[in-house]
Amino acid sequence: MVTDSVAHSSLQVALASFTAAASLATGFTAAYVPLILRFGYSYEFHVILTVVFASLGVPITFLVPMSRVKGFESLSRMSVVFGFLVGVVLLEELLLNSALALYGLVFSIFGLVSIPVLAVWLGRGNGWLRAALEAVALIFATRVVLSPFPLGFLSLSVFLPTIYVLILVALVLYLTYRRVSAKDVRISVGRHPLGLQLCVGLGVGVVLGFVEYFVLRPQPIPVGVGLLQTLAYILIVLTVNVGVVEEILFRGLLQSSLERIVPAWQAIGVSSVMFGLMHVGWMNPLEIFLAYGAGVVFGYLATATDSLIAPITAHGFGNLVLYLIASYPL
Amino acid sequence: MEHKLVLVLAVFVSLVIVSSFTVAAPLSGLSTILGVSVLGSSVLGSSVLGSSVLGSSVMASTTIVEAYAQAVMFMQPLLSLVLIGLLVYLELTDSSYGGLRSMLLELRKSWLPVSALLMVLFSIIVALKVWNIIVG
Repeated sequence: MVTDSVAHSSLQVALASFTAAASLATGFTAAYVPLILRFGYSYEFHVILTVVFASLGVPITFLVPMSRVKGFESLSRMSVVFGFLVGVVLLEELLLNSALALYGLVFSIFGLVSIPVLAVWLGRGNGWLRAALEAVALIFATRVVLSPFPLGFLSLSVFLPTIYVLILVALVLYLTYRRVSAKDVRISVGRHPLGLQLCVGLGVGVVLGFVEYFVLRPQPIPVGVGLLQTLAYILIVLTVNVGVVEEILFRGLLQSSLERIVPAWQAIGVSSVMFGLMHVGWMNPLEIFLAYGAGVVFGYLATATDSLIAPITAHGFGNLVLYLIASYPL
Repeated sequence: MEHKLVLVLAVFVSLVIVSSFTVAAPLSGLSTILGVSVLGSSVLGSSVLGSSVLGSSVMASTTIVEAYAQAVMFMQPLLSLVLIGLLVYLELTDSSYGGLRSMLLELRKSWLPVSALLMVLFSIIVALKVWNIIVG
């Protein structure tokens, strides 16, 4: 693959990433207030604010021209490509989480098959651009894997792990066929001590869990008998299944591929906007923005450590803390 | 296949198996915990940051569940047709048939993992149909 790394210092990446996130937060909040006054907390409010999020996210991410990308010397061409893809993901997710779920699933399989064509067309001579586009196709695979299972066929405890195993199978198939090494997608120890990465991931995860709890304010989860068993299940599902798979896809494959062709903060921005949009199903625009913000933090951790250990730990423990606080409300 | 990827997959699958034995009866899974408790209470239930929520909207009704159930039923034949199309393409672009344009070969490489995934999903669909017939 063509390697055209765009190197920046960790501090530059952090400053640019968090400035972009802060800009998006400002725009998002500016839209939130008038929209909620106009629509109340309705489905229309959710859809419009989600569209606002995607519409702001793309231009903010592409503020700096990506002159280093071969064949994409103009800012407009590259931003159009990823803007279009963000739009497709947005539409697919809005459809999938509506009464038009059928069209959402059809869109998913259409994206899974057609984006590789786009990747071949645009990615000629630039293997990492092709890999980034194919990673977007794999995002659609996360929805297509729902297809074999009729509603209610799998018990609730088996459903999520099964789906995540299938997504991981898709990722492994892709990485194997494309001969992308584990190190290329940051499945490695990284450049910092393992203990430090785990501690940072743990700390970030705890903070994110608390932030998410105070934004979502879920009703208390009743904890019945077999608490330890339940916690073991939650630990495995939330930290291992969800954390590992989503981080390999978004930070490992999509972001790492983009980092070879655009500045790291733009790669973090694109993968985080996509990650945020994958949370449309929560029917809560704040959750979409939270997921975006978490994506920026995870993305920065991945870039700074050159490993997925810290992001996976943060992602998993963030979910775990949210569950624990909901079980034992403050 | 790279050893690290095989290891990740193996650990993952074994933990999935373990997880299906560890779940306690009263809380039967993540869908219950996050899907009902968090999503249900924060979005469809009481409030988000003090605002009234989606309880009255179309999303809160059973329409979406019915729509999703029908969508899955429709997707199964569609997925099978797409897989057949991809397999035909892979066969026609096999190198033994002679020279092909590089773009077609590149597309073949891109579609190989997609076809493999759809084949896995198709196998699951068939296995579930057979299971349904056997169980009645």
